[in-house]
Amino acid sequence: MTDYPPQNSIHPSPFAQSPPAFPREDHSIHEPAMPLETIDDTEHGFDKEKRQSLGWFFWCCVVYFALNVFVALFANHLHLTDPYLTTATNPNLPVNGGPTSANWFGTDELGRDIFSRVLYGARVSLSIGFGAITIGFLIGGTLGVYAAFRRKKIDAVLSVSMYTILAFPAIIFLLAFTAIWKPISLNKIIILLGIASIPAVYRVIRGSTLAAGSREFVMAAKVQGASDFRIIFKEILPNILPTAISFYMIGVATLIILEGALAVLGTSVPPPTPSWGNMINEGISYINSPNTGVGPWLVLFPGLAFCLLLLSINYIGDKLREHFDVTEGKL
Amino acid sequence: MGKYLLRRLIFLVWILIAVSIICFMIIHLLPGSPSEAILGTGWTPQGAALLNKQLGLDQPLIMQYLTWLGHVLTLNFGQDYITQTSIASTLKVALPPTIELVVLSQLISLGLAIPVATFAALRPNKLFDKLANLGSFGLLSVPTYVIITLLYIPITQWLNVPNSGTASYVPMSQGLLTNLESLLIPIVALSIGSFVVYFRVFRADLISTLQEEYITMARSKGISRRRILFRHAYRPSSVALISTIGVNMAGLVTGTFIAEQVAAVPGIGSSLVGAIFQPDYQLLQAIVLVTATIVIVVNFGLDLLTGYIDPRISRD
Repeated sequence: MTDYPPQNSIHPSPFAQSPPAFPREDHSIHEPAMPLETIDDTEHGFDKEKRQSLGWFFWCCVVYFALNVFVALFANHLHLTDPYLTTATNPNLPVNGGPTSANWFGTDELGRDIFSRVLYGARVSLSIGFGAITIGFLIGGTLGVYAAFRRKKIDAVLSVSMYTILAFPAIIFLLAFTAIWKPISLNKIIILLGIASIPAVYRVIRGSTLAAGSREFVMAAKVQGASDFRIIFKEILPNILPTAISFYMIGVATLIILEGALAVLGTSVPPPTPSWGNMINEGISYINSPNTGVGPWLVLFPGLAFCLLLLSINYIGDKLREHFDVTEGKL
Repeated sequence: MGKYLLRRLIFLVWILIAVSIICFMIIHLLPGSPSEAILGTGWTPQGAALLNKQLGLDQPLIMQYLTWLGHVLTLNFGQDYITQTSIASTLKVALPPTIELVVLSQLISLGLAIPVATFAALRPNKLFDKLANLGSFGLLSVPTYVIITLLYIPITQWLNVPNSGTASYVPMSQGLLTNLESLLIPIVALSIGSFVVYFRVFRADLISTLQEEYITMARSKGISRRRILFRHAYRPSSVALISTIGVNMAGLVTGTFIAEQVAAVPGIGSSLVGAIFQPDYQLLQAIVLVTATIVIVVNFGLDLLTGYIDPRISRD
């Protein structure tokens, strides 16, 4: 990965470098002015410094995230233990065994290696997260740009229908549809979650297209007689890209959590497919019976895998948003 | 306010109609005839004929919908042909534990988030604020189902709280204390999940409110900090918090369903998952309808509340 372009190339504004004529009200929480307590002046230089570099933790998250993607793509080339190998084929496997040198994360109730299942589980989470949000962006994003650009009737109709869907509690309807659309599979889950994400993407993209579309350079392009195609792709899209990228990342994290919830309830990708949610679902029954002597590793490692991946995605999304965030007051 | 109320009310009715149509269609979207879906494995030609007559399934679709809607509006969800009980009585048993979980976790998380966020916002970027901010950002990435599974060992084995394991649910009628003990893990897990969200939103909003000029003005007049907070800062800042409660409802419902499933609480979530696996489409339909309606109506109430707290919203 190369460095991100400096923000000035994204938001070409002649005023970007010069200080504002009037110190405007700034609601950014990263720049606390003077609440009830006094703050020493050194805090004020902090914000500018921060936006130049993304910080070492950001790159840790990027590396961890890239590692997950790598594992998800190449899990079957890594010479891992077969994640489907159970005591049914090899009775010598330890059942519910603790972490050992052979099974780093222990084994589950069928003697399957948890380490290998956690690594394979990255496939399900990442393909669902990225697949579904991509569907959401392709449909919701396109509609959002179109509605904000055309306005009038089409915008009103689309917005009312999107807000209607948005008012639905998604998980309840997702559960209902997993019950109806049997047998459930990875592709069906991606499609269902993708559809569920459309209204949220629509709202964000429509909002930022509206904001970008009312800027002076878009009006200038319109006055010069630029085609709609040109205005959308050359003027508006580059300006909503930062918002879109960070919302894309946050969407991935949200959908991974949602898929995990479906899996923990047992209605996502059917077992024995290794997925983190499925592993937690299977592990719960063992955690719950305290006298079996089963340790916490059945749910600990898939849970940890969830947390670390989500943390890295959330942090990347949050940092990118912060990095690209040029509030009007700063222009 | 009147116009705002009317507009929100129209939207509410419209959404509820949309929800009812989708719930009605659940049975008809299934492969096979509705009688096959309702009777499941107990399907016989005679039973199907009887059912078609009873439920009016031989009528046109729109008539079926209106009849069904009429029944549902009078809370008559009909007979469950799989468990041979009335669906309304199933719901009556399943709703109280779910509502208890939701209400208690919301009270706890809000009761903690408001003072903690205030404390952090009064000294932004100081040690406590930084730690709380960092901790809440980290916890934001921990889904409720991970929190709840990780809570089991500490609470049941290290702290040794009696009756707190799974499958130990005690209804409230058998003593409030044992009931709360049996729900301890789900309540703690749900409270943590909501607390993190509320803390972050309220802290951010309070910091920006405290930078407003009228706060400086009030401060320079010598008004006490307590009075500034309660009279001038909390009201504008609570708008974002209340809208967040509405947004958080979706996550809360998910978390509650999972907590019920994990802790074997016989609530709505457990019934829904049971209905999915049975499959019992009548029960599924009723639960989806009731839960969605409750969530939507609560959101409507929160909307009105924000309109009341900040009149600018309702005047718009």
